Amino acid sequence: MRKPRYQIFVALLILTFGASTTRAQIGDALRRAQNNAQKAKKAADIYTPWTAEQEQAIGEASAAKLIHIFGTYENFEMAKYVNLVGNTVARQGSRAAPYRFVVLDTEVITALSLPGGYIFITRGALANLHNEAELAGTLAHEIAHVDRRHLEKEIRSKKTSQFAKEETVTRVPQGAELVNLAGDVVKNALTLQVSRDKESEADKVGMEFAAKAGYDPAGLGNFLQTLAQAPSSEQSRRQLSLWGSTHPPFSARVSELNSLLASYPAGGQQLQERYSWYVNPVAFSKSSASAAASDGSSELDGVVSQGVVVLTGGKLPEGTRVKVRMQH
Amino acid sequence: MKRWILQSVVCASLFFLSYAGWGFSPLTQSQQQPQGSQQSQTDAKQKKGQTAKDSPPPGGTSNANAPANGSGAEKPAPLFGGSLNIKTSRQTKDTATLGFNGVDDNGQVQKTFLASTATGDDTAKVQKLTAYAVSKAELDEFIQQGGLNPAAAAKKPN
Repeated sequence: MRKPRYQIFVALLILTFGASTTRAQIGDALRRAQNNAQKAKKAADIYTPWTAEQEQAIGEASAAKLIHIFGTYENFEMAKYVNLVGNTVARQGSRAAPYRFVVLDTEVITALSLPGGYIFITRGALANLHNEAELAGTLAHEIAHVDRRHLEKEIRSKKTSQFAKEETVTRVPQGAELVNLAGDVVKNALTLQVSRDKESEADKVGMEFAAKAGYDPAGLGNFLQTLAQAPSSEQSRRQLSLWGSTHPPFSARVSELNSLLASYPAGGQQLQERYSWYVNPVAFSKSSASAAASDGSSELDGVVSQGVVVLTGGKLPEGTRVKVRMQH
Repeated sequence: MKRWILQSVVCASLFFLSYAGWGFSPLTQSQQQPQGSQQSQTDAKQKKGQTAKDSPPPGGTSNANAPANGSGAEKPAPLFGGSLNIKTSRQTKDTATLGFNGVDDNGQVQKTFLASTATGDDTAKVQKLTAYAVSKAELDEFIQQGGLNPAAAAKKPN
């Protein structure tokens, strides 16, 4: 009985040796595959980037399409404020692109960027931000996508059109070619998941832009944390599904962003008060109140603050006579 | 003889089980490592956030439209959980309720919109965005009011 046991022991030793060798071979193969993928990615990145004129034409056509889908929220003060915050952050970018920041008129919570420096944030996103640092962080992430030409690279790697296929293309797209290209750009921006490495890069670079501008670098992470804690209601699901289909999970990004925070000094500005003054639910109803006043409606909402009735719906012309009715 | 076969089967099973566990253990460890450090980083972040919150709001402003310090500026209420009776600039069937323009009931972009082409009005709206363009003077004032960094990064050609 001792002899078979010895044989088993030897057989197991041989098996162990063989298994570890096989495992090493598999590991080598995996590493080789990974290296090849990296080489392929580098090869895909080698192209002549779109010129300012090409990028501008594609960006403008794509922006028109996006506005066609969602509409713009037309509130001059708020739009100007978002442009001021965005440009404050964009100054820290490496490209001298003319950035334009647009508020899209939808309850959906998302932000996205298009070639040519067109950055969009939705009314739903603005309503869920808590301070200017969170807005700056969100816009900074999108600015980073433009700064690093992420969407352009995605479009060109997919080679969905002749224009995208050519590595060196000199003409500025026009007519049907431009319309098709804009369609591809918007479809990519709205329905396809951005690659994880590009998202991580935009998070990292965006945080750097926001911090260099003087904002609290935790802005984007804090906003994502808010979104991660959204209640599981039908409304929040509808608000967030577009974001969910185009971005990695909130928790992973929050962890990654938090791990970067240690490299930045404390003391960045949050500017909650300034944000609340320009962007809050009251501000959102300004235009509706103005419209109500101009179309002869007799009722406007207001609150009593320090003994004075303040209209939450905006301003009325000087000398307008009003009668206050208490509402409990 | 039967005992010998049983011992072989048990040994082989143990071997394969231990190999499977050994094979995946390094990955598991590497996944666990950031989580451990993540806790301390989260703590650091919370501490940093607290410091920023404790700092006073930006200094006085010359802009009459800018918010007053310490005034009862209303904290924005998140939209999660209810409608704020927001009216929107687009007239769609749900404008009066929640204003989910451009998306279907599942929150995905409406395919009809995705397939349609932008109109001349949409292009005009893009061109009118210049109305919100920010001048250098406006930006400088805005940055100063917020106590932000006035220095810009060096730019490289397009």
